[in-house]
Amino acid sequence: MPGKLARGNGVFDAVGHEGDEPTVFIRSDAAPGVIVIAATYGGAKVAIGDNGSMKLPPLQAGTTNLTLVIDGVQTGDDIQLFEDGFDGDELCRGVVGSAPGGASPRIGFRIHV
Amino acid sequence: MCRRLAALVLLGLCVAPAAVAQPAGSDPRSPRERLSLFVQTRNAVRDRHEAQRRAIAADTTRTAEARQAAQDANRRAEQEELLTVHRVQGFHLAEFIYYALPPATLTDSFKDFLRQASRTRVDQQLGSTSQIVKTGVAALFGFALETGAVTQTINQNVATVHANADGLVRFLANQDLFPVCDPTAADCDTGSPLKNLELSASFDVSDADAQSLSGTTPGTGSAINFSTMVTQHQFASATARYALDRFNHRDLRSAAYLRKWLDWLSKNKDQMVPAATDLLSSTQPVEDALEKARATAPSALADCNDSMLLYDRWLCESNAALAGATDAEWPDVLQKRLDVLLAGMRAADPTFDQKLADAGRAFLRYMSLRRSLAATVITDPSLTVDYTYSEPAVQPRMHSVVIAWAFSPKGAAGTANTGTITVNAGVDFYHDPQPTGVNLNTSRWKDARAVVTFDRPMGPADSAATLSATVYYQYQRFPNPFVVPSGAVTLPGTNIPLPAAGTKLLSDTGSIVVAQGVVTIRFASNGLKIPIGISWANRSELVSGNRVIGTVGFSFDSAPLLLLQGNR
Repeated sequence: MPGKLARGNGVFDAVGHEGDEPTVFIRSDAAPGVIVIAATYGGAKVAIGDNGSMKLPPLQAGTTNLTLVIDGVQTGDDIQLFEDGFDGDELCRGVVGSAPGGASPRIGFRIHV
Repeated sequence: MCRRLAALVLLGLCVAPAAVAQPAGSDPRSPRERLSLFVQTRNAVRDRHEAQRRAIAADTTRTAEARQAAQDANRRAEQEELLTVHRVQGFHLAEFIYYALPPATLTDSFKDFLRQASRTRVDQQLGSTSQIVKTGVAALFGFALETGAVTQTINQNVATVHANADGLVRFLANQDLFPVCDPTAADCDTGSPLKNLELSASFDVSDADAQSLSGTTPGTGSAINFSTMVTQHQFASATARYALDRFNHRDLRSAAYLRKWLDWLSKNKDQMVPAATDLLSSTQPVEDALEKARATAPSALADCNDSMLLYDRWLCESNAALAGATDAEWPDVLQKRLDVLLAGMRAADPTFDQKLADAGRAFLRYMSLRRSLAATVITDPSLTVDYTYSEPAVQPRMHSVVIAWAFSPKGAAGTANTGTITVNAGVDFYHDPQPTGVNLNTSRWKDARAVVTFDRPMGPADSAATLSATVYYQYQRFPNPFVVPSGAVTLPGTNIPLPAAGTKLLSDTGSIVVAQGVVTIRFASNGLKIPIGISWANRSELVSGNRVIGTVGFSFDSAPLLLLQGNR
C-alpha cells in the first residue's frame, strides 16, 4: 500500500500532498542505535515518539525542510528516511557529515508538496 | 654550572610567556584545513564501504555470484553516497559552515569548550613536593610554590616551574597552541611528539627551620648528633616527564560500547534536547537562506542553465564537476565550487556571514555539551614516565624514575565518575656509589616506592574544590647517607666534637609510610590552585619518629589564560 509520501526526484527528498500528516522515522544500516534528539518541520517543533517516529504536522504547499538532531552515529554512516506504517522502500538516503569534534548531529530533508 | 644555567634558561622561557598573551592573528587554517570536514566525511564513506567489501568477500555462506552481486551493489551505493557529500543543504551544513566561517568564531568557541574541560581536570601535577606523580602534562607552562615534602627532613619551601616542550616552541613561533582542525588530516598540525614532553625545575626558596640530625660514621659506627639550619637557596631538582600513548576505548562500533553509549544517551537525552533545539533554531536562518536560492517546483538537475536559482544551478554544476574529478582533484574542485556558492550567497544575502557565525557557534555549543557529557562516561587512562635529577639538601645527588598510571574507575552505568586513581611505582638511585653501613660496601641503590592517590571534585566535575587522599610507601634497604653541613653545631647539653663539614654520616634504617589528605581550591578562570593539606609520616628520610606537617601552597597553570578568546 502506498504511503502519504513518495520518493523525491533528486531535487526533493520526498514528495507529498498538502494537508497529509505522515509519520516518518530514520534508520541506519551502519548505526542501528541512531536516535533523534530533536526535530523541526518548517521551523516548528516536531514531537518524537518513544520509538523515534515523528508525526509531521499537515504538509504545507511548496518545499519545507524537516530538520533533525541525531546521535549514536559516526561520520559517514548512512541515514535513511522511511514513512512509518508502510512497507515501501526508503524515501531517501544520505550520509552523516562531520562537525568539529565528531559526527555532525544535524541532518535535513526537503519535503515538497 | 651548566645544569644551573640550563635551569635558569628554562625558568626564563617559562616566565616570559606569562607576561604577554599573544593576540590571534589571521586565519590559521589552510584551505585544506577548511575543507577538512568534507574530506573527513568522504573518507568515512569510503572506509565504511571498504569494510563492507571485506565483509562480503569473507562471507563464505554466500555463493560467488551472490558475493559479486553484493559487491556491485556496495560499489553503486558508495558512488551514490560520495556524490552527496558536497550537498551542503540537508546533511552537510556543518562542513559548509566550518569551511565558510570566519576562523575566529570557531577557534574561540573551541577554546570555550577546552576551558570548560580544563575546569574538570584533577590529573595535573601541582609542584614537586607532593608524594604522588600525576599524569597531566602542562600545555605551555605552570608554576607552583609549596612547603616541603613530608619525607624530606630538611623542610624548605620549593618553587617549581613546568613547561611543555612543544608548547614553548609553538608559542615562540607564534603558532596556535590549540589548533582547530581535523586531527586525522595530514596537514593538521596538532603538535609534535614533543607535546607529550614536560620539563620542570624546582628550587629551594626559603630557609629551613633548625633541624636536629643524628647519624653514624660509616665504618666506625660512631654516633654523631648536631643541630643545623639550611639557608642555601639552591637548585633542588629537574624533571622530564613523557606521556606515553593514551589508550583509546572509544570504538563506536563495538557492541559493548554501543550498549554503554545507548544507555548514556537515554540518561542524558533530556539534557541535550535544549541544546539540540538551540542548534536547530540557530541553523535555520542558514537553511532558509539556502532554501530561498532553490526552486520550489519539481525540476530535474540534468541540464544546468541560467534560469535556475542560485543553489540549484550551483548544485547542478557541482554534481558535474565533482563526478568527473579524480581523488587527487576532488579537494581543489570542491574548494572552487564552495567559493562560488559562498560568493553568490554573500551577494544575495548581506547578513549571510552573520548567519553562518551564529550557526557555527550553535554547532560548537552542542558539540561541547555532548562531549562534556560523554566525557563523564569515558575517561581515558593515561601513562607517564618521569625522570628526575635532584640535589636534596645535605644528601647526595640522585636520580629517580617513576611510572605513573591514572584511570577513572567505572561508575554506575550511564552516570559520571569524575574521580581519578593514580598509581606510581618508582626507584631512586644515587649519582655516585654511597656507603651501605655494612663493612665498606657501597651501592647506588637508594629506595623503591609505590604510591596510590585518589582525586575527585567535591561536587560536580567542575566544582571549585577537589579532594585528594594519598598513601605512600618507600622501601629503604640501606641507611640514607648525608653530610655534616657547614654551620652545624652540637646539640644543647652535649659537648661531643663535631667532625668537619662535608663528613659523610649514615641515618637510621627503616622504610617510610605516608598518609596525606589535600583539599585543592581551584580558580578555573585564571588557572590558580591552592592546595591545603596535612601529611603524616612514620619518619623522614634522615630522622626516625612520627611526623605530622601541614602543607600549603599555590600553583598556576597557563592553559585557562591561553584559552581566553582572542589569545593563542
